[in-house]
Amino acid sequence: MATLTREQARAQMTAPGTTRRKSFWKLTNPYLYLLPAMAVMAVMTYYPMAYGIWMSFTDYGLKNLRVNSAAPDFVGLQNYIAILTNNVPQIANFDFFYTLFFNLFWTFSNVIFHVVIGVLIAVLLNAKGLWFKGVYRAIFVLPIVIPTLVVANVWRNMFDPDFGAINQFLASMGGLIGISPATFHIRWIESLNPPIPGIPLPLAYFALLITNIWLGWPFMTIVATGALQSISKDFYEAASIDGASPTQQFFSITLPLLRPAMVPAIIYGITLTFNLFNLIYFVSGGGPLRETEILVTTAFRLVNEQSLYGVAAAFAMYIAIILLIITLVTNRISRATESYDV
Amino acid sequence: MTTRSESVATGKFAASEREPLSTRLVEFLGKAPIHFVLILISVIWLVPTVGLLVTSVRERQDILTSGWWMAFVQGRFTLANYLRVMQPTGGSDTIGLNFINSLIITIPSTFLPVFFGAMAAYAFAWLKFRWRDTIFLVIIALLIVPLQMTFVPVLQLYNDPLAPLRALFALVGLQLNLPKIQLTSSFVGLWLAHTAYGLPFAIFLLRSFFVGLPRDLFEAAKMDGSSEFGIFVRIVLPLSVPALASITIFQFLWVWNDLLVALIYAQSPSLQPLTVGLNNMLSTYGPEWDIVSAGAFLTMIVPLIVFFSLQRYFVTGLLAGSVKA
Repeated sequence: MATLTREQARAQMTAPGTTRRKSFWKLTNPYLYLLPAMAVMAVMTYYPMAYGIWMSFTDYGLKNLRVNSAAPDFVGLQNYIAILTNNVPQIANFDFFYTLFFNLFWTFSNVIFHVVIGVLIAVLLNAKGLWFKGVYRAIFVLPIVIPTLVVANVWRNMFDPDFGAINQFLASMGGLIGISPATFHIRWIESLNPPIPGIPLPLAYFALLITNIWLGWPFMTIVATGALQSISKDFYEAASIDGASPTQQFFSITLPLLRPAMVPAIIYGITLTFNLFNLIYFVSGGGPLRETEILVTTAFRLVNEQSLYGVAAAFAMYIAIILLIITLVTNRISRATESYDV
Repeated sequence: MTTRSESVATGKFAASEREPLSTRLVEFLGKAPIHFVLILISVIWLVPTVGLLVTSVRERQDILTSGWWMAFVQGRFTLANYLRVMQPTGGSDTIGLNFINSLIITIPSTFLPVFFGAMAAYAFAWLKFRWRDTIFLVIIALLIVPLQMTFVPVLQLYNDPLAPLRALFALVGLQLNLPKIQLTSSFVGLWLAHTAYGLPFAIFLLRSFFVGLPRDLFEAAKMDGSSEFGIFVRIVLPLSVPALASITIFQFLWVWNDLLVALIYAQSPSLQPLTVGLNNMLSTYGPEWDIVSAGAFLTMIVPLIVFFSLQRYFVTGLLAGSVKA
């Protein structure tokens, strides 16, 4: 045994049996790395999703949640049809297409502000030799760190018609130019009259928009700052030698080179804003008269207030499908304009 | 405007390493409009937070009669609100307990998804196997699925997690007395939920970082006879500290600030984290901002410390996901 030569050892190592074991190990090895993650997600996300799809075809309700309760009845597409035809009497003023339209408008109006302000501030912050860059950046990122629950309640308090900081500030500003403070008793959240004639959006939408602009653009600024720092200075030097104005430089160098970084951030921002539950739920509560309700807050009401689990599951399916379409379309648009790159 | 004047300025001072203070001061003043805009925004962005902090140290009577900015004129500050918030209000639902619960919930819920996510991301980035891209796509698709979809089935599972096992044993004729456990009354349920909800983003972010690591390193390590797991532990993880740190901060903030998941899965009051405690406080005390603002600030304090001490990583992490090297 002790005289096992190197040749013999090599022959043993390459014997058919061992190779098979080795290739088997090689095959399963990558899956072992996935195992912990996939095991948790299988139980906590994939199984519930499959279960949810089944639930969406049943009349699953509170009665089925008890241990050893009877199975719910299969109702086919009834839940899906009920949602589309607004046949959900448990929720007052239920209007699927209004909510969907508002949700889409809410998402895109917010993201446009986030991106435009975010990029502009990033350009300002990128000015060479600017002092206190780190301080500014830390202050701007602050909103991301604070719990949304706190943000939402602070802003709701600031929008209070009697004691809110915003009305008080407006009144004291107005007082300087002689406008009576009573003009600024603005009912930001509760007011039913659309502030801009012809556009059926309640004042609460604008209050939410202000809050979410406060909350949302810093993320875009961070992404844009990183991208700006990776743009070579040579481009700008060459452009200014050719006599391009700073505005021209911004549009023909800065913006196109920001695009690859901004597109994923924008898609992420869209999905985040589309499902922005906490802010809407705690600032306006979907009011007045469900006019600022979005899809996820409606789904939450279906589950938590009405226990209509079957309907809620169908509703969640709609949300997932709509989000999938938005992601695919945004992705397609961004790829279609890719030739715009330098 | 700025770009041009800068290129001139840098041309002029390129020779000297560090310009004299006077020139830097001139440059600073030349940027006054930019500073003005940035300072204005900073002030607006600080107002809600500062207002909250100031309100929390004012006396109740002052809060009711005047805006928080008057506090600097009045000069009356007190810690009474904090003391009142910390006091047990009967039962076990105190802010102190909530604080400890938040820590117990957040720490495993941060490290589990980061570690599991790093393992999976390594496989997706550097190992070859069948269905790799399909599996990756199936995981990434979860980023757009609303969490709310999973609540009811998971709750039902949590009410009796051993039910499938019991059914299986009954099927093969085994009569085992499995204990009845409820995950809704244990931290394990919250850890599992946060791990699952955090994994897709962790895998996505870490994979895009791992892909950018130099290939030569892996080949050299293989030549030296390192196993795959050895490469992962000794090369990939140490080289990815910035990305790991940033996903850790992300997940930490996400879990610490979470209200929805805790509301649904932590039904026993002894499990509730700070956000749920604050939410209860809001419904009990409503407009009593002396109490609420102190509670809110206590909720914020840990995320603020974590963020300001690890700010650098936070920014690099956001970039790792979006700016590809």
